[in-house]
Amino acid sequence: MRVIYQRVSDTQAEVHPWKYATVAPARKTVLQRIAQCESWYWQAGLLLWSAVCVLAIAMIFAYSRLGGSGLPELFLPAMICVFALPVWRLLDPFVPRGERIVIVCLVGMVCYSIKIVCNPVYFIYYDEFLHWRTTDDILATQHLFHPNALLPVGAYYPGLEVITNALSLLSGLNVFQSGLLVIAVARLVMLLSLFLLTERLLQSSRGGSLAVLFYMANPHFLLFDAQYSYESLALPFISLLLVLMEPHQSLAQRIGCLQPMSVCVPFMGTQRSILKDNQRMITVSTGLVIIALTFTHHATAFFFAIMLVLWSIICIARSSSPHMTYLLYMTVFALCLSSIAMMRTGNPVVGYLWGFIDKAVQELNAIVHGSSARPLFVSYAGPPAPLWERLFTFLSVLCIMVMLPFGLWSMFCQHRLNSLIVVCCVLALCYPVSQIFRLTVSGADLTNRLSAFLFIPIAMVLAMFIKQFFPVGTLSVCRKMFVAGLMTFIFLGGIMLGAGTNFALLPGSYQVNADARSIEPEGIEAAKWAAAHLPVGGQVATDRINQVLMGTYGKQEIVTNIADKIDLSSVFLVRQFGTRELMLLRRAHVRYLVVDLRLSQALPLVGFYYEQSEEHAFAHTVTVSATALSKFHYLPGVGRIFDSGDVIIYDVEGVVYEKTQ
Amino acid sequence: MRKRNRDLGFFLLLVCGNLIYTLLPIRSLVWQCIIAGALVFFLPGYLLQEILVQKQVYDMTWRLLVSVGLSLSIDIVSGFLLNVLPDGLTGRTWGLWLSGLTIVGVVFCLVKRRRWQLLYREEVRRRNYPPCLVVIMGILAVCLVIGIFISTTNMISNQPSKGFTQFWLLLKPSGSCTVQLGIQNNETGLTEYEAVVKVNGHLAGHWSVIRLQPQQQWGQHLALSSLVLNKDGQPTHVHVEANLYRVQVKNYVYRTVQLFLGASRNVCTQIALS
Repeated sequence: MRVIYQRVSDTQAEVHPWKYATVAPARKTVLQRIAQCESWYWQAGLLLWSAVCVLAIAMIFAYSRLGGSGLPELFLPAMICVFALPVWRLLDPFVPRGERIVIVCLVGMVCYSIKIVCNPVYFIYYDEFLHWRTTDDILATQHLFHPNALLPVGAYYPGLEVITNALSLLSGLNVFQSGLLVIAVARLVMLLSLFLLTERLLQSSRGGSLAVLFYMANPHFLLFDAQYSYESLALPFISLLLVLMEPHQSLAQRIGCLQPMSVCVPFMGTQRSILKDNQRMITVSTGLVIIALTFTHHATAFFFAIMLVLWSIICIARSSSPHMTYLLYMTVFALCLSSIAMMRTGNPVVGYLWGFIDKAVQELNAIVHGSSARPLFVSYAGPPAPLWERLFTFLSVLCIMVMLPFGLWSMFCQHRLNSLIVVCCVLALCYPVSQIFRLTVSGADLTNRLSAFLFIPIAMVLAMFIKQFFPVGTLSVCRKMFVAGLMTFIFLGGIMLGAGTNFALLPGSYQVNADARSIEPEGIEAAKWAAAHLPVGGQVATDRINQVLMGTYGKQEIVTNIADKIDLSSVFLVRQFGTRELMLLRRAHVRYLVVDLRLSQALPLVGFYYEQSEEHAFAHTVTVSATALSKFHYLPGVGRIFDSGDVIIYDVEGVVYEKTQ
Repeated sequence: MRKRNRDLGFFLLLVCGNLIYTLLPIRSLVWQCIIAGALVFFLPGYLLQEILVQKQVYDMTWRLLVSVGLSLSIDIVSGFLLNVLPDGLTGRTWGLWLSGLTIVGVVFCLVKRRRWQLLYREEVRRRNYPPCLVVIMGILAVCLVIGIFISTTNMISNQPSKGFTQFWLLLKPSGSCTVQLGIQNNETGLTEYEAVVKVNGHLAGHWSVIRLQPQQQWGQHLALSSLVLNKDGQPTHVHVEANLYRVQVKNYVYRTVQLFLGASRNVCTQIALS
């Protein structure tokens, strides 16, 4: 215990005996030049190494697309190559700050290029289609807030789409290319801001760079937060805000100290005005970024507002900070803006978020009262994950849990006077609590989504742990290897958690309702056919995947439960088409039904075929019957206007029209 | 020594160059991308932070980060402002707005820099050019990455997939009793088809060999005006069915489509029969 206490309270952990202390000054200069040269070599070498890794990963994906098996066994070693060498280099205490920044950005952008390599031709992730639709609506109408049936709440938070719109219109690139560029820039902002924030808080560039690498271990970093989605832009805003707001604390204190002297000492007056100038800059910039954040992503904006409230409470509790007034203003500003965005007529954000959280809490409550929990590592559609994968994931989370208390203790011992660090410590404590939601069906996704936010403080805490418990003075090659291995292990665990059940988010052969794996040429071509031959805006009812394809490529209006409050899943799932189904179609004014016959081949990987509210959602044990899907062919008055083998389009206007007449 | 304004001059030149470019008949995607990238991702934020902070107490990384971050925020706020205009968010309004912001920002910056007259010591930077091997490694890596993206793009575009054929039957929207029959070959190779159209069970059209290359499309219009009348010359309900066969496997219906039409005075509509 005494040893642990020594470690957590050691303020000299980053101090190392000067490498060239014993050499003569002339020799020292030579050695420094060699070190500089070495740094250049490392940077170029790592760049080349990363490119080779991306090449290897591209080849693995190509092999997987052709139906090759064993994707995890090939992909994970390639990811070790991407991550381990930079970690090794960054653990070295003599690496210059500039090189650290380059390496951190390099690893982050390599991870982003892996997402691009998954498919550099078109969007493949479900959420990307939802935002593409909003962007398309803005391009078509030239105005914001056009309703989007695929994601009604998305239309009220068009920050990402506005930037894409500007870039696309000015550059002539299409939405896909512009989207990739916007997210690339956002990711760069995220990496740099995280580095600067953690470097400043931990007062070490080494600690900062390690914290950024730890952040990359969050399950959403590799794929989810690299996709064309509002959260991918909002996260960089939140970290940028922290970078902007953090120096305000020290500035406020310094201005406070200079005030009494400014009257008698002219220089102090100038100095004070410069500091005031910086303070004004911070205030204006913060205000601007808060506006951008509020209209980019609801959940991130709320999370930031909660963070500010917490920060303000801590400042008030200490009651000595001159920073307090500024913080209170910013908190009120952020809360007011979030409320304004929330109160906008028609904005369904409250119901959208509350429904999500409420369901998760209810399920958790049921588990507490004896109902069975969701089995972990089990897919809705196929065999459970292999044992090694389960162990790997479980142990990586366990490693974080074990390191967390020691990191927190170190933070508390050394930085407890910094209010922002206290906020981070409190938020890091939420991580173990959030893991409980993995036992619920609705909350499992909530846990992963929270990780993207919670990993900002967690990464800092874990970097603090490494900094304190592996001080540079005693960092032998063996210890360095151990730490690099540990960090890589945690990183791989995060990838496994984020790559979806059975790595379904990575390229591979077609799977039923598996988001990225279900986006393939036949569905896309059917949607393009719809755009070319069907009237624009025809009301279409279909399954989850064809909804997004028909809504984007197909330019059709989609009937969804989330927007229209009509669940049409029974129309497709029942074996016999009856009056109830007919009434549903009439109520929703459906013109076309798009049926994908491949749905009958397997269980849906995401847990449901059409809507989350459908019968047996998340509990399907048998596939939807082929008879149910092909029943429309025999219905009088229903035209079968398109057939591409697997995708059939039916025109039901006759049925709906007859009744309304 | 007063801080030089070369950066501002360059930005002004860039924006003016862009304005001249818009008047020229030629179009270059590369130039447009450079200009758009600068206007959307960098210039507004850079100029704002230059206006707000006179003495650069922050390092290069911080300034770069804040410039890009603020630019993204300014874009979003600008989007909301442009939304209020009747023209809304168009290429013209975006171009004018962001160029205007840049010019105003440059002017403000010049005025502020002159007023403050802060002395900056020009840092003479000793540039340690890396040895050629470092440069070669960097170039190699960049080429490799570009190569990967080009090859992956080609790979996905030409990815061998299962192959399929699209077959459709649509009533022409003009109201005349004409249906449109179409085939799109998305198979992996040349395919020969046979199409048969029946109206109320009677043969109305037959195309015995339709040879289509991959990605090739075939279309045919079929007038049904005479077929929708019964023996007494009165309009009737018709069932149009089209089957597609592959010549190699003739006895198997490869694709099938159908329409139910109701006709009156040569005007057809889709109807329900029951």
